[in-house]
This record gives sequence, structure tokens and C-alpha cells, in this order.
Amino acid sequence: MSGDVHTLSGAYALGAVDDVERAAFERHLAECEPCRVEVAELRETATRLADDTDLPVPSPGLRERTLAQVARTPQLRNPPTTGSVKPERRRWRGWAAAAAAVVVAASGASAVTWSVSSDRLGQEQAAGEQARQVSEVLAAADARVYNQPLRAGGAATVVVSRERDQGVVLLRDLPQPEAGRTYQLWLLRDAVPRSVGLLNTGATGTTMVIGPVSAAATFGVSSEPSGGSPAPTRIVGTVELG
Amino acid sequence: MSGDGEQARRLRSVPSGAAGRPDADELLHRVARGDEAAFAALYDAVAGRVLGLARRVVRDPALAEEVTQEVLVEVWRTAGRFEPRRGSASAWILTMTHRRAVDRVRAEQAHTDRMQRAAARDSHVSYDEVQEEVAARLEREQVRRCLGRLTPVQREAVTLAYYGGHTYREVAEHLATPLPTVKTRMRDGLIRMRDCLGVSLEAGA
Repeated sequence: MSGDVHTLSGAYALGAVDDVERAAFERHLAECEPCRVEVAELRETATRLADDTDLPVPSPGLRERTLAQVARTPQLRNPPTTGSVKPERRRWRGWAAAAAAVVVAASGASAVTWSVSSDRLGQEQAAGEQARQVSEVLAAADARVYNQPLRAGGAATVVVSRERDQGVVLLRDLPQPEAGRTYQLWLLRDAVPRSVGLLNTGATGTTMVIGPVSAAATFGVSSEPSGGSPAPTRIVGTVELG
Repeated sequence: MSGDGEQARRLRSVPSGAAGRPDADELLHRVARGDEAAFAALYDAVAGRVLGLARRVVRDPALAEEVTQEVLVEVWRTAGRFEPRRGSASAWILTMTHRRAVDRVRAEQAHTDRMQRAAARDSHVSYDEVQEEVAARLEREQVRRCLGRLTPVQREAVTLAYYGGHTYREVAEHLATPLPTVKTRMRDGLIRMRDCLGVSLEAGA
């Protein structure tokens, strides 16, 4: 990778080049494998900047118009390719995106201290009591995030603020519960379980504020007969909080 | 290696911010074969982020909707040309969105005007569903935290380019800074972001 062209990788990944430079840089990329890896990573990184935008709800009209246009738009055929086009298996090391969504910069079960600037959160209006509580937990100076796939499938994210004595649980993509059963949430301390919530019948995910978290060391999800149980009978996954 | 397969599936895609949906990579693969139902699902998975980014760059809700429609139709049209080894489906779609949005603003608006507006940002957040919002918020906070770790000049260069839709030449001119310096700030800034976010692309078997 020749020095001068190569320094354009950041501007290129940010889309901050003109058409001529883009074409020149892409010719360079075709000959430079290490550059391709760097650019792919920087481009993924630049894409994450899109996460720091408000998420508007697209109007139903937009959806209709787009789907209608697609229905009458022919697709381009693949261009003739040289070499293998077999999609390579790729791994995102350290990009802990649970199937759901939550990204925590670490691998496996992880904890990150979130420093959230309170003025930014102050700008955002939470609708509803739950959203307000969720915001408060996330904004807590000591909030820590634990993110882990569950044994039975799906993933759990638990955000805990010991100062507020509250947590937020996000569960996603659990297997469909068997008939007559539902998921129940627990906090465990010294192997003593305490029920902190019950999912609706048939639900495979939730966002819930839990508490008090006090000195709980483990969060657990179990499958129970509808209505819940006094103690967990079939644990489907746990998250260590510490 | 079944655990490894699970891991790969779980870690692969850019988060879609919604529960229970197949990931964008998988959907795009089906879209490439002409599957309209998969396109509708892909639309539902990414339209919010596409529209959000388009709005952030073009600053006009109606224009942002136009860009969104154009981009998603283009996704449909060119899905067969997506190369998974060059990045995730979400990155492909959002890169296209950014390019299209930037083309619009570059065509339509004067520089100074945009420089000023790029500095301001919307503060309104519409809550759809708490669950999606929490996930989106965690992602945002992580991006903000990582942006906060850049030096002020790196952050300025990166945000003027990405959110403001400016070329590095325009940024250099605006900041009265030499071109190589601006290029370096953008690259070093993104590298620092990459490491903070833990983005890593490993091609391999």
C-alpha cells in the first residue's frame, strides 16, 4: 500500500471523496488486499455513526410506495465475475452484537461502564413511566451492561445500577415457550432465587425494569407453568452480574 | 463446531435494532434471488435507520423519504451485486444511503449553509417501542462514547464529513487546514473509533 493513496482510506470510508478520487481509490483497492480489509473495517465503523441518529418511524406511505416500485423494477443480473464468488464465512471478532441488537465492546459475557452524558439524555423525551425508568437506569453513572446469549437460544442484556438499586433487562429471541408455559425472571443471591418478573404468555422477548437488585450476583430466566413458580424449575439461561 | 456456527451467526451482522427478525445479511441474500417477501422484511428491518441517516444528512424530512425510497429500490435492483466478503449487508445499505444523501446535499445546497446546520442536531426522539428504543439507545451511547474518545480535531473532521456530507477538501478549506492533515485526522479518527467499537473483519474459512 503506497503511502499517499493509502491515507485516503478514512476519507473514502466516510464518503468524503469526490467521484474521481473514489474511482482512483477503488482501483487501488483492487490491487491491495490489506487495504481492502482496512477499508472494510473503517466502512463498518463509519456505518456505526448512523446509529447516532434519531430513529424515525417511516410513514406507511413510504413503505407502500417503495414496495410498489420494487414490484415493477427488474433486478440486475450478477455481473460476470472472475474467480470465486462463494461468500466467505466472516467473523466479527469482538463485535458483540447479540442477535437482537445490543452492542457491547468486548467478547462473550461482558461488562462495560457506560458513561452517559446526562445533558444528552435530558434532550430526549421519554414517553411513559417505563421508558423514563429505563432512561434513568441507563443514565446512572455506575450503570454496567452484561450481555450474554442464553443456553436455550436468544440473548439477554442486563443493565444494572447498584446505586439506583434497579436494572433493565432486555430479552430477545427466546424459543417459543411450550403450551401452558411462560418465562419467568429471577435474581439470585447466595443461590437464593427471587422472582422479579413474568413474561406474558407466548412472549419470546421483553424489556423490563427490575429491582431491587441489591447484591444479586446472577440473573436467570426459567421456563415455568403459566402463572409462574415460587422458585425456578427449569432454568434456560443465566447472566453473571459481577 | 455447532457452537461456533451459532457464534458466527450471532456476531455477524450490524444490529438491526429489532427483536425476532432475521438478520439483514440473510434477507439480502434472499432478495438477490427475487424474493419480494424477503424485501418487505428487509425494508422493515432497515428503513428506520436508512431514513434516520438520510434525515441527518439532508436535513429535510420529505427529501429524506425520497432518498430512502431510492436507496431501498436500488437495494432491490442491485442485491445480486452485494459481496458479503466486503462487509455486512447493513454497512452496504447504509453506505449507499450516505452516498445518495450526500449527492443530494452536494447538488442542492451551499457549503456555508450546510456547515452551520451540520453543527446542530435534532433533539426530538419519537419513541416507538421501549424495547427497540433501549437497544437503539445503547448503540447510540456506545457510538457517542467512542466519538468522545477522539481528539477534538479528529471528531470535527469525521462528523463534518459524515453528517455534514462534505468532502475532505471542503473540510480542509473550512478549517483552513492542509489536506494531508485532514486526511490523516479522518483516518486516525476512524481507526480509533474502530478499536473503541471493537469492529474487526476477519476473512477466513
